Amino acid sequence: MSRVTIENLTKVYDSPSGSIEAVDDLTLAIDDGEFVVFVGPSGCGKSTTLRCIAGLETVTDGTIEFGAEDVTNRKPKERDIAMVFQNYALYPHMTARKNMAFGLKMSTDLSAGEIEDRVEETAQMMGIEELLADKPKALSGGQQQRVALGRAIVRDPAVFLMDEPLSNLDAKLRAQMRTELQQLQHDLDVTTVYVTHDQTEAMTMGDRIVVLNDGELQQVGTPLECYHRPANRFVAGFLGSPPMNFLPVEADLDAGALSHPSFSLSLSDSIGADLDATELVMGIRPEHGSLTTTPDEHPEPERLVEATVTVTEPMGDVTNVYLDIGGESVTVTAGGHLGLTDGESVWLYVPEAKLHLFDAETGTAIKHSDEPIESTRVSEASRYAETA
Amino acid sequence: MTRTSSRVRSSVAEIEIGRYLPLYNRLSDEQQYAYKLLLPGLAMMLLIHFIPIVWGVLISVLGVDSGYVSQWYEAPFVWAENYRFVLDPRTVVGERFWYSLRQTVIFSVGTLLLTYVLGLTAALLLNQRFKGRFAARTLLLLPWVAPSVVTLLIWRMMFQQQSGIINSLLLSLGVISEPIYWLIGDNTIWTLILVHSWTQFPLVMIMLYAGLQSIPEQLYEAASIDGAGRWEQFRYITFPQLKPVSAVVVLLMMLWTMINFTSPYILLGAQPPQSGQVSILYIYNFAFSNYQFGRGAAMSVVLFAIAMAMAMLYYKYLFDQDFTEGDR
Repeated sequence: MSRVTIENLTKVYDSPSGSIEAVDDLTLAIDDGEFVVFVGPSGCGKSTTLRCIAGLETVTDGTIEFGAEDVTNRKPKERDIAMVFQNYALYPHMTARKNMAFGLKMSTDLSAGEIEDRVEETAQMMGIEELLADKPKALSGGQQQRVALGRAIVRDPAVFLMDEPLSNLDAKLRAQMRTELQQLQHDLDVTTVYVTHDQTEAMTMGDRIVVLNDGELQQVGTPLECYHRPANRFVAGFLGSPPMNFLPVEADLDAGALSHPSFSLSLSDSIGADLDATELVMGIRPEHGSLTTTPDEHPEPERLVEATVTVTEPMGDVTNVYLDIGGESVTVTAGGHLGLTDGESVWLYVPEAKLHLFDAETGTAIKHSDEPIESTRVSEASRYAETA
Repeated sequence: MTRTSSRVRSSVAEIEIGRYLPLYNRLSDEQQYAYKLLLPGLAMMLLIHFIPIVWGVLISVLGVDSGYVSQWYEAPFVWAENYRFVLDPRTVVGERFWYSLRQTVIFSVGTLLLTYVLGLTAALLLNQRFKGRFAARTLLLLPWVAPSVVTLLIWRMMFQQQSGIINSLLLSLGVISEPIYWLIGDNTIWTLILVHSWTQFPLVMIMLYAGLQSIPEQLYEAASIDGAGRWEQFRYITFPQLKPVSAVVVLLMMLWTMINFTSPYILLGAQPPQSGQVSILYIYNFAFSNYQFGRGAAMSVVLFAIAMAMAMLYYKYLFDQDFTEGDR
């Protein structure tokens, strides 16, 4: 176990057509035993960062420390890490047993018997004793995945590195392994860096998530922090499915309102006072909008925005309603089945408290929704429910 | 059956094999089709391999000598007399033939080892990233693509005892104190191995190089994280991963060297020293200088049988095994 500190990490790839900055000045501290998920679109630098931590890439600039030791220029084998690869990278000519034993044989002075014991023990924990005599080719994708995890766990390393380990599994198995991995990491309490492009994995697995784009750090925080308090428009748009809706608006400070060619929303004074830019982007999470077909009966009719239904997607528990507002598409996730027809006129209501505002030019967040981001314990939640 | 293949099939179907070979009609549609596609290749094999083999076996049981050169079919049928004669170590011919078989084994194994080591080393070097890799690859292929007559004659000149550059180089470097006889006496077989390996190693190199390129980079990454150094990575990843291609290389190099005629003949000629007298050269020189075709054919059949037996054993025990299967 160890704390991982990354300071001003920069990785530049030189190619004949010019140099590419894969990671740009990344600074980050990962606590001992923490499960951190690197997330971002393809080419955002998340895998490169992981490979730098592993020692598979030479760092262009910056330092990487494990505990108090600077490991920036150390070889992978001198770092006490274990890694799980996307396609498992099991040694095809070795049995599962030998695959798992290989790291111990290479990096420790354990006797063959001791190695055997540890492999057996880990195999038991992973439920793969039956597979030990098989070579990878004879195993299914899920079984190979387990062997690959076993190979990492048996090493008992200071840091686990996982590069999209679940993305080659089918959806059902992936969901199952997601929970299992979390449980495993919790039990082993080993610092883990997990790379994924899947935001569900990011939201559900990590103690904290690190959102990257174009080699630059966008935000570090707990999943709920990043979801409800996105630092910028990129993070807001990347996390969440369906994604957050963005509408360009202008802040009319004199009138205290946000104006869009097809609607105008009044703003409370407290929010209006904080605005220093006039070109803004308004963000609405699909689940924060609600729809009504009877605007006259609504308590806040002045905050309603007229829209036309273009498509509805009943998902069973919820329905995704795609709206057209002045030529722009807005998605709203509403509970149950609404019985709306395409082309119908509806009114969208968004509580001011749930609105996000971003600077149109820089994308920096100006206002967030007020959703709670601290984890609320069940007992406390029920106490609140009683007093309410 | 897909539409395309049935269309192709109908165009080949005009050959009415069934009329001449009734058994053919019992084959399934698909098998018939397969045989039709194989036909040109099989015909070629029949013409240039099978017929000469049968012919050779036939001559080996006939007493074809100088008296029957043009009318070999009139030669008397002698049963296994030719075989008895060439395999009898008490006759001069038999003794020399056995000796030549021994030299052939040394030649084959020696060439195999040397080409494998040279080929693997070159392949590993080529597999590194460096400038001029393409040029180096082309250069390393030269000994194999250059006409072997040219290469071998140059080697022959270089290995001359008095005028050869190799002796003068070794002398001036102080490695040897007096000129060595490379192409006469007991050294000949080693010279032969050296020269033949020189012409053959690029083939081994290119096959192993292809094998190296198919090893996924991630295996090395996983291994380096697992704590394997460069040597261990070679020992536990590269070498085992090269097993399938190595199996092919070993088989081909063994067989091709056993029956190689060009290298010994051009390097040593019609009057080779005993040490360089590999079977194929001995058979040729014996049969064509003494007009003993029946006995020569018998020796050829023996050599052929040894080569076939080796190939079959090899297939059975080594080549046939699946290199990625489990322990059970």
